[in-house]
Amino acid sequence: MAKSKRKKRRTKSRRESYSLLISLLISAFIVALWSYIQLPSMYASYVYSPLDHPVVAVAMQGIHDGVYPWSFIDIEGDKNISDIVSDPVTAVRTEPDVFEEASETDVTEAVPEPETIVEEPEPEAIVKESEPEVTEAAPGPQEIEEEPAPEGTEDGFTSESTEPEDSEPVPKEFITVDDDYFKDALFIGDSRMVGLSQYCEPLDTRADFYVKKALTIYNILDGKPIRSFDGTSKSLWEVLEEKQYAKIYIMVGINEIGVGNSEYFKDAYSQVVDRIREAEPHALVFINSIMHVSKSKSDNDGLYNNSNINARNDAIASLADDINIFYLNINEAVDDENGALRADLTFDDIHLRGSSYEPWHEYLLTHAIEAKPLPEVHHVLEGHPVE
Amino acid sequence: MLFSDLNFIFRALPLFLIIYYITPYKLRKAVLLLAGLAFYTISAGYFVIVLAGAVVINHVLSAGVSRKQKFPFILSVIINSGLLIGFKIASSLGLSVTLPDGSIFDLILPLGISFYVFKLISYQADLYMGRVKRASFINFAVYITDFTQIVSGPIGRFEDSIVNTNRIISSSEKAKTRLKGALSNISDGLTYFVAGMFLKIILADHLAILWNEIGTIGYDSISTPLAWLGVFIYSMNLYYDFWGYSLMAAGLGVMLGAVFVRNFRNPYAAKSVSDFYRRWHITLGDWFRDYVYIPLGGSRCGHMRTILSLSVVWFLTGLWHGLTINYLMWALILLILIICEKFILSRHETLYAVVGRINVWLIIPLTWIVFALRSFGDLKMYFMRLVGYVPSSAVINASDYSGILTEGWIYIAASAIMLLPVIRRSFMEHRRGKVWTVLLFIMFWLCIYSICGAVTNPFMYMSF
Repeated sequence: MAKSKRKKRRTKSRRESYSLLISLLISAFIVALWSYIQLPSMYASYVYSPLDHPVVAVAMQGIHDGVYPWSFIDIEGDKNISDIVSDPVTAVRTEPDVFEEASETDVTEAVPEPETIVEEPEPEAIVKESEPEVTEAAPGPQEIEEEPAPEGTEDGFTSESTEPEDSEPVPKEFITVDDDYFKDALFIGDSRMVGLSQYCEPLDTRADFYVKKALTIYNILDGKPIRSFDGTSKSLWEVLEEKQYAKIYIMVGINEIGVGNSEYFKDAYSQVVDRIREAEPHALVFINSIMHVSKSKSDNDGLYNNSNINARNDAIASLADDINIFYLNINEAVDDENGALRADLTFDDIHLRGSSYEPWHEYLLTHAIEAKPLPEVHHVLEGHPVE
Repeated sequence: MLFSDLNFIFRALPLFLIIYYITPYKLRKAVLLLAGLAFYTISAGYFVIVLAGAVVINHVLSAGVSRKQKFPFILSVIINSGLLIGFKIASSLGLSVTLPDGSIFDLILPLGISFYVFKLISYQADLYMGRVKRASFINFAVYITDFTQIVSGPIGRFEDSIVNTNRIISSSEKAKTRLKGALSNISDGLTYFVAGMFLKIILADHLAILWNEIGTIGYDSISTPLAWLGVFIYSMNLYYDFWGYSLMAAGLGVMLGAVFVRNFRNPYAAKSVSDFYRRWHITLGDWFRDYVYIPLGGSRCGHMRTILSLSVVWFLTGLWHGLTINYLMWALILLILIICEKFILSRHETLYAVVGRINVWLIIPLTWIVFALRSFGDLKMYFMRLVGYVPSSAVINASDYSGILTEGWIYIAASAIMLLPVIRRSFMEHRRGKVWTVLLFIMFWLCIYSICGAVTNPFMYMSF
């Protein structure tokens, strides 16, 4: 019987070199030692459990977050090393803690995408309460259709500073529009919004999309530049300086699940909305609910599950005033009867398939708000999807 | 526990190596056996009972088999293949058992069963044919439970097993020699292990993310350029994932003093489909050749017998990979190609040379799509998109491939470059030299960096 030949290959020189082994041992030792020494200081906000991961992981995770051994930034936001996944076979988390909202200020959950360095919000940032001035009716964000039709719907569109003192703004009702409604719209968001720009041609050809995979509310607040629809790298604030929009749609939130709690998230979101309102006083702001994940993901993931998503959605829903800021529960369009993303609409449990964006599109068409035309006439350039 | 776990690389493996080499030679086999069982239990829990049971039963039967008794031999083949087939069926049907305490135990496919069952059958067959002598229980147990091979192979032969080939566990030596021997083995094995890590973690796992993104779009809605790009991406993903793992496994074996077991030999440099499958998953191909093809007559009893032998081999190969129809389709296509090459193309030298290469570079990657997509609906959609037909459900973004390219061009380019045989040859000959040592050092830390970013897990990628 023929045996397949397996020659033991030797190097020509008889003198053995152990340099790879030794250099790996030494370097691993150095990295581990460094991680261990810096745990109380540089990596203080990393929740590290020696049972779960070797200590070298701390330094490497730091490098991912931009914390190099030569940088001395304190990382805010409390990241967790135990997020490091060592088992790609199942999607079950090793730390199946259900995320508790509001009550805790320190995080024991996972790290978001590596680019985010969460810094303290600037102390000068104006944290305006966006409470509705109408107090007799406090509409829940989804119940606006049940409000009595206000008479002065069209007149409700004024910024607060120019409001006459004697009239109270009336909550607006959703109306149905056609796609041209979006000609002066801006869409802001993460990869789900990227998908909308790529697979919803009616919107893509009319609106501007300021979107990027893994975009977070903190990125936006910090003015992180991303490649915008005109090809240049810009922060959102620069985009808003250059152009006026009548409608601004936002969807972020899934990437931030592992950072902070709902209050922290809502606070940042609120600041972003306020700054948008300042930059574009005539624009209507539409907060899109964070899209759910499918049931099979939600049931098996300690972090990216629908109860955490719902907690976040409840928080940002309260930012709506139904005058200028609206909450769109787009999950109504894509959910199954269990309140999870319909399994037939997704492949990876998180994103819609290319052919499945129409329900969301339809929802936007049927949940628009009458807007006044912009003070200056702008011809909106054809929107281009951004990465 | 996987070889790419940080806890394995930085804790379990170094600790095990120290224990292994400190232990006096008489006890090293026991250490290996314990390590194998511990590793299996950590990774697969209660299924270790199945493994242990299979080892015991086969050892008992091997007494009769070694005396060339037909009944024990046939019984062993039936039990072993029955075990594999049984679990394959149970897992694909989603069966489960209710335990006495009321809890439900899912009958999933036990870790490594497709591989260790084949090792069991090969041992019994070799024993029956007189190629090997009956092993002691511990030697046999170490061979089967070898943690370096149990997860996904290679399907090592008993005669090449560490218990038979390695002086480290069979002879006494002075401490200094032992240390030198240990360092020598570990250094040697480390080069394979790091190279394998690189292929799997940097290339394969990143390509898997790209492939997953294609699936996320939906196979009905990908543009035709993306569909073709996907063929390349998936083929490369599969290759580097499996080759990478095989190198890691072989490297671990070498670290313990075993011979290097080769599982891949530049398959995409093959000149025909037949040649390809002599270079791809070599230990599996050799197994089917030695234990199915040749016993059935192979190519020695005329054309009809050859075709029959090939058909049986490929039918079983398809089933071994999975019980869904796509695996059988995949196997059938390859069978037809091989028969055509063997009997039709072989008559014309130039035609064989040209068509052979086309088969390897074009047809085989397309067969991987058949291999990849278990749903017939998905398969249909994908091939429609390949030829430009637009399904009614499709919403196609014509520039979708540019996003994938922007994101992953470096991995796509690297995977193409790594196909060059000169790279593997250079590695095999000079891996202990200065240049490769530096490269491997960098590759190791790149991998650790990648693992720490959780980028290796396509199903858990953290940025949406």
